[in-house]
Amino acid sequence: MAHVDDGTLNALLDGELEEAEAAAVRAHVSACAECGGRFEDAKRFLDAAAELLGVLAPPVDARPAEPGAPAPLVAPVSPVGPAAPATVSAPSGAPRRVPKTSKEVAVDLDGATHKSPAIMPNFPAEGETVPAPALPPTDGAVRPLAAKRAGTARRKPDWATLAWAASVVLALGVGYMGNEVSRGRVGRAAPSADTAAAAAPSADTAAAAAPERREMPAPSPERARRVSAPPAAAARGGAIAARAEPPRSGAPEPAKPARAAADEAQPLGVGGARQDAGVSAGAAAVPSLAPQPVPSAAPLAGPPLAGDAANRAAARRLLDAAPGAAPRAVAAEAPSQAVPRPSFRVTDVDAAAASLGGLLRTLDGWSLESVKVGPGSLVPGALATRDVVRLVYSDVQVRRVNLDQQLVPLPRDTSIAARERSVPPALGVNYGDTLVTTGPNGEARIRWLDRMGLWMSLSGAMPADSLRSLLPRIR
Amino acid sequence: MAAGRAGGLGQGVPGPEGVTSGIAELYEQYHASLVRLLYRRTGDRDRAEDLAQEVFVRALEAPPTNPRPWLFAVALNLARDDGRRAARHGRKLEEFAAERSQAAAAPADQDVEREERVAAVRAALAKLGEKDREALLLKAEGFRYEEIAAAVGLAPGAVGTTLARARRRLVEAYRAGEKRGDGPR
Repeated sequence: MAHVDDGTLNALLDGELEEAEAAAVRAHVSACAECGGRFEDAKRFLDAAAELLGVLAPPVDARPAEPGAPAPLVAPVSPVGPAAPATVSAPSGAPRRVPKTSKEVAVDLDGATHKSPAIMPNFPAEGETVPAPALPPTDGAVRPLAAKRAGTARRKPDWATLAWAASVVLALGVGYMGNEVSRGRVGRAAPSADTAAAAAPSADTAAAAAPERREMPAPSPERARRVSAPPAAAARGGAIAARAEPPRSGAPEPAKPARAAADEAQPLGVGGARQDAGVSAGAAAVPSLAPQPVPSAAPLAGPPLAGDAANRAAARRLLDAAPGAAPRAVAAEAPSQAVPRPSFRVTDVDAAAASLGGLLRTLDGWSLESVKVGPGSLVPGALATRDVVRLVYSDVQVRRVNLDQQLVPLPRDTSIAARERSVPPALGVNYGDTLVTTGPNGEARIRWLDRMGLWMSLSGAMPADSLRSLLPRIR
Repeated sequence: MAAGRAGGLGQGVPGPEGVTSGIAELYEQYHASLVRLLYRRTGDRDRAEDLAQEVFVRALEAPPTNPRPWLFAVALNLARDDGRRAARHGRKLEEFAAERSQAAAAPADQDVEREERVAAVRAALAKLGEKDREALLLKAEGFRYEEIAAAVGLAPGAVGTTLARARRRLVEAYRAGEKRGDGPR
């Protein structure tokens, strides 16, 4: 047999040769001094290389085990070869993971674009310990991560602060201007829906989101423009009554009919649409804006003014007939009794994760109370046509938050630009955006889109800063 | 051996639910391994996790028939592109090591020693050719020769030779660094 080359010797060491060939090579190596020497060299190089690569094992990940979580990173599947088992292992006492740093969360939220420093200053400050009652002890992990934070802060401390301050000022300014513009356009058309909402508070979860919208600084002029009802909608009389608008004094009609008119514009009374009643009302006039299903009994199907008046009268009669009932529920359900009211249904974590393509995010350190799935129309800002997974959490202080998640379709072209273009405008946020709103009842809501195409909304009856402090716990 | 542990997502005509559950299964099976490979390749844990996520995004968009080599080939391509981008933006691959070494106010001697060793191994790995490095990293993840050949783009018969060369060069580069004083003393 001719001499054996190094490739064959390595194949022998890696167990890649057929049995017969391996036996022949072994026989030659034991008989040939030259090949025997090279075989020993190959074995030494293989062992040494495996040992060196073992040095590069990543730090231990100490995230709490989740259902379906991947195996820890300290146990690489590295059978380098039968003759030379891998010596890859992580050093004992290697750093473990603690709640994410501000950089890590920003990366998660922004898809590694670092485009949204707006929320970074509100994350735990440098060196500040994030309270983590339910997390396992973090032994040696604190130092490297704290240092990592320090490294991050060293790089761009001022830019983050300035960008945050600028974005707040810009959002407030744009929101104020957009509000003024929209008030000037439609103020004379009809009384405000929100005036009615304030007069007749609804028990509907989604109803609480309408005032929230008023508080929300407009994320962009484009969105502010879209939220404003188009002139065509104003021409249709009653439809415009549903536009979300600040309360106005001297409204020509009493609050209750205005409320009914708002409900007419949203026959199903679905929350996601009413998060932005103006969009819903505008959609009746401009169908391309929001493909919400409109039942046959929808008042907008008739002649605008006459139908609107008739339906208002019908709604008023219904309200008068049932004074004890929630006005909104009566007005919304009466025209379409056959249509079931959309709602969340309880499910389990596995089913919820499956509906999100396995991308389910969870909130560490809080108790999961329930997992639900429901139409996106129930969650402000979500796509109405797709399901939303809602995880309801509570903490030891019995505070409760909702973590809503929805999978947004991704384009086949995976470039960042294509992905940004593909985001449905109805979402109101794009990759890198973070929308923080606070309702008058103190309920805050944070919405964002992560790089995996998962739209998320974290909401709870607490100040926005408190809600922000939970972001590092989202895994 | 692990080859073909997961069925191909592209086999048959899976519906959307089949694809997503398949991705979840792939994620469970390969995410840790992908992050490990990408961490060894980039030296940055955050980047490694980001790139691993990107791999699964792509798998979701275009379900692969033979997922294991496909996932790792995409991961290596992404790492390669990321390395080029990082070079363009002046981000050094040693950033992670430097950051960590700056991090500890008074690191223990053994920590310093380990960090120096990591930096030395990374420097030695960086001296290898692209295919040598990738073959070595895939082998460390338990890949068989035919899978390495498919993922890296080598002839199956050339994998043994490539690995032999890669192992020898890695060890020699590391030892050369030690002699120059780059490595741990």
